[in-house]
Amino acid sequence: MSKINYDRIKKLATIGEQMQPLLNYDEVAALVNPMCGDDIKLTLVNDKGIIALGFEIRGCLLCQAAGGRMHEMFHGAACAEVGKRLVEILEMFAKETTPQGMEPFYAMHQHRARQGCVLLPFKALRMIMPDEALLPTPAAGGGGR
Amino acid sequence: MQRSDFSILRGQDIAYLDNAATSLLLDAAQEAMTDYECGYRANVARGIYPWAEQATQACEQVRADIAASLGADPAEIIFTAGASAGLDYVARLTAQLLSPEQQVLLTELEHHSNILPWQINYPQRLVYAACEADGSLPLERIEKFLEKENCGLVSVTHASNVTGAIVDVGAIAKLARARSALMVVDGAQYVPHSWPRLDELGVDAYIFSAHKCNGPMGLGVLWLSQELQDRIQPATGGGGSVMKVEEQASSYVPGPQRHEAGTPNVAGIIGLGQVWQARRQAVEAGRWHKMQQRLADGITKLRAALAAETGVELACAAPTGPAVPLVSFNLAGCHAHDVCQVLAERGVYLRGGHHCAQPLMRRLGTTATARASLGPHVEEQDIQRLISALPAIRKTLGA
Repeated sequence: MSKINYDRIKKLATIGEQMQPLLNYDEVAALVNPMCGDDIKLTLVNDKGIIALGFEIRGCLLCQAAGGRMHEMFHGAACAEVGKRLVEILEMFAKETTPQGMEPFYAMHQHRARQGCVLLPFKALRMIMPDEALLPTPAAGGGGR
Repeated sequence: MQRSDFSILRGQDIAYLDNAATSLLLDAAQEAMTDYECGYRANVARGIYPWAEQATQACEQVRADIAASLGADPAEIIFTAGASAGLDYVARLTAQLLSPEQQVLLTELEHHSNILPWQINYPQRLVYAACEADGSLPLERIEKFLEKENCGLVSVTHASNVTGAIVDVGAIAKLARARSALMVVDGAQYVPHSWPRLDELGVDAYIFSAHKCNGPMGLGVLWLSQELQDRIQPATGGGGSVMKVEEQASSYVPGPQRHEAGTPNVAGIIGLGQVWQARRQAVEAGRWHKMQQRLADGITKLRAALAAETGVELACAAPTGPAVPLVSFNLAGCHAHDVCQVLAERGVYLRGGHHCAQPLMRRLGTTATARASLGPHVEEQDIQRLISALPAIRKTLGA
């Protein structure tokens, strides 16, 4: 079983712990992790990209670290870029991939119970990103209902 | 019951301290279940061939054994899919008896399983007796509620899965009876360590699960007093529960089977029967009390070690009265999940989280705790292993 790199996670968590929700924002999301009751309040100023991103997480080290990484990845990023990478991250455990930037959380592939801790900030971001930024590329020949 | 009765631990370098969530399966239970599945698997109360008769006989014997040990009549013992399913069933059953203006009294100690069925069946009709910041539950508070409110039913845990404190459900039952309120008890945490006398408690329904008593998962026991059974109709319909089915109405069989619609968890019941035998043998041999004393001593030692450790915050003071062997704690600056993750990496298995008791977590001023809970297999070395790992948590998490 891969070991969690606590030093790396703690560094990222420090970033997450220092964040605050924005006082003036365009979008806000609140999300609870049903497994533990941890929560996030995420705020966003959005203009074709994430101009500003602020949040407060009441949660574990992993959740704080994921919040810290989310801020590093997406603060100042264009919507299209956020959308593409966010979809990859949200699917990372289901598809057993490790998107760029999510390497510190690689070990969590083997800790199913903690995957929700990593995804919580990204799920909150998904809630307030414009849908058009998140639409997956249609598969060739796709159809069905 | 002792460590050697649990072959799951053989060759495993772990300390399993999460018995309040689920306990380890007793080898004798596993063997009896395998014997049934491989030797005489058949449905019960229906077939007339030998396997079916053997399975029926085995299940009814378990019903009789459990009843005898708890001061109950076999006709009052109903097998359910678990404690949650049992509480849900009672919530639906009792809806036949309460008037729309009557309320249901719960306490802040309750597991979500003893909150949600009432919320679903009695929306906006729940009142809660608050506990103190240390998790204790003053009886006067319940008495006042019962005097003030129009309560038709009281449902209370017999032992908290967070503080370990045993609740005086007999005293609460007296108060409830005095106000003609029904009394339901969630015994999920109590029964693994004790033997409630259902004929003396004065309650109407009592529920516990098999998997917390070293039995199989997916099985619960609901004791429903005959007095209550006489006043209600089954809340679930299905095969095995009916006498005669007409197009628009049906009549139900007498006895507990009227509440056991569909095929029961036969293997599970047979497994639980072995657990019950082992428990009774332990009592008869004088080992039961010694085992429970060993676990109580273990938790006292663990509690003292935790209290002495820098940065450890116990979720509440030690219960002043009787308690089941568990302790909840936090490490300053660390989330319970992180604490349990680091412990798991060192082979110490604990539960971290809200323990499905969020109202109590709020009262205790936290969102989550780590919890160590003991079971028959736990020995001194397991507790010592947890104590020894505490400094490593701080080092790893930088607390």
